[in-house]
Amino acid sequence: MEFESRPKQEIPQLSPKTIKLIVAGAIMLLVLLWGTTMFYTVQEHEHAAVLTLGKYTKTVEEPGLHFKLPYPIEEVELVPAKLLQRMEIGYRDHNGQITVVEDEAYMITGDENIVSADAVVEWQINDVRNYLFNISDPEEFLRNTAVAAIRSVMGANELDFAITDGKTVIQQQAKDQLVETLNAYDTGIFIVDLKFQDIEPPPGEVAAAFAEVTNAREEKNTKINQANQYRNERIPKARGEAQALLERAEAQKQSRILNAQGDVAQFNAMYAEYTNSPAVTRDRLILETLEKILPSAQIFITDSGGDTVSYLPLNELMRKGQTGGGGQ
Amino acid sequence: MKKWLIPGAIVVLLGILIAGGTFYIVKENEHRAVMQFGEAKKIVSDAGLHIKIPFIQTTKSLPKYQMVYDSSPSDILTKDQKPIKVDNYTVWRIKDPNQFLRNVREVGIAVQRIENAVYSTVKRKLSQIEYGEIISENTARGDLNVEITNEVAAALEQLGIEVREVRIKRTDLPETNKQSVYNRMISDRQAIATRYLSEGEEEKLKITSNADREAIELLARAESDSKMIIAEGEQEAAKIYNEAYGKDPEFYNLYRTLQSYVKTFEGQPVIMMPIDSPYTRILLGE
Repeated sequence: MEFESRPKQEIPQLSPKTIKLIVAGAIMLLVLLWGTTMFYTVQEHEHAAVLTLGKYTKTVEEPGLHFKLPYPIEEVELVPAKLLQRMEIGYRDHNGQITVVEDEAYMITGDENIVSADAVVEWQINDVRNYLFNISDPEEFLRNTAVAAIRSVMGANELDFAITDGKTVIQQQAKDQLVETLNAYDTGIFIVDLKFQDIEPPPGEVAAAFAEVTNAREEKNTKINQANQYRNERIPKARGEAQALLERAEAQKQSRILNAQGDVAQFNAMYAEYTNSPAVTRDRLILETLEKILPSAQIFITDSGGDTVSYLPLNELMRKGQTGGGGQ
Repeated sequence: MKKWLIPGAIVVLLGILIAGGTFYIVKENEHRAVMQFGEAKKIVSDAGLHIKIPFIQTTKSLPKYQMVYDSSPSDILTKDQKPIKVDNYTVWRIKDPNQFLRNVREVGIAVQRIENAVYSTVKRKLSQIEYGEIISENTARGDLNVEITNEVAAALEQLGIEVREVRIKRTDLPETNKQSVYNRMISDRQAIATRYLSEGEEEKLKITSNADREAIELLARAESDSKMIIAEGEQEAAKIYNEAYGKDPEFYNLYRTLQSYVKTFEGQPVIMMPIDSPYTRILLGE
């Protein structure tokens, strides 16, 4: 505006030559501006679709500055085709701020329970022409297809399987279904991967009930461990005690036998003497025994009638007997 | 110079106007209908530069690309009278622009027709199927999608619309039913938790009582074994004694008696002896 209004105000002062110059300058500027439509830049992560009079003619994959025919003959659409793009299903991540999208995340499982599942679809544009011209909103379409695939697969599986061992299986099924559906429509989108972040029961009361089950299972294991601990204490101790009993019995057995052998050896020795001179040995044995007994004994001697008792000073007697015996 | 300037400018302007009315560009993702007094003279689907009669003919753009129509979720009753919330999307494109222009004209109107067809078909189909089948059976749902697609496609075909797919994106329970599902899930889990707890108790009792049994058995067996061992010792000892003492019972009698005297008369025994006993005589030195 300024550019135009100023010369108008000053027209009376300007010579025709100046007007000519200004007009020429304006034309030059327009031509220059037009000229800039002859160049375009392709970034490292981009591909460029070139349209000639509205018709797709080629895709430029080389990054850098490129030449084209000026607008409106050739136009260029830039597409981030080399970029691995991520689409969040069930939640949105805004710079680390995660919000759950319940309508996407909550779904019904095959056994009519409700589960919350978050997934990430990694995708890439593999056909620039289809991506740009064959579908109205490829990303919205991708989201719809992914949501449908995940729900369909989840609806064919049971809750317990989904939240425990089934994650990878369900993941693969959902990916296969997504790829299959998408391929039917030539959207120019290539699915690199579909990964579930979480498959879990809905948060709140339900999740708490699930956590309770985990606790109970742990408690069960704890109880089993405690019982095993008791067992591990009880059995070896009993084994030890049993062995001790056996050892004691064995000891008793051996000592009884050895005692018997000792007793018998003594007897045999004595018997050998006895067979040599029975009378002498016999008397000797008796006397020796008496020697052992009598020193501390009180001895009463009765006559044959048994009525009268004569008291003998035994210690003296015994000493006499001892000398008497010794003299024998 | 000045004489030529104004006519020249007029000629150039006219030229631009005529060129602008004659040439038109068909883009990669569109059909162009060349309209003459409201009548579609021809449909151009090849992208590029084309010519028409200026001023008399105008063009109208129709999308050549596939479009996704996302229906708003609707509540439907299943065969077993369960309410269910269904959300689906439709992939469609203009197949015959001539037919489309005659019957529908605008994309917005087409979307309304699709919405109606999809809603009534989905509602009718789902009301013939039981809740469990809609939710769970992957195959049933797969077939369902195909059936609904075919019906909707047939209904809209004569409008020049190709319905490529109607897909049930979500089948959900209405909010009111969700809470009862949650309650059931919670009670399910509580039952499982209780089972785990009592199973723990069960296992514990099994293991400890079994350990007790084993321990007691072990000790009992050891006790019985030890008794047998002791008995063996006794037997062995008796055998040894018998072998030795059996040689001369009389001598053994003496020997053993004397031995037992030593034990019996320990301490300060009182002994009564008859005067005529041989031992008394020995004692008295007679």
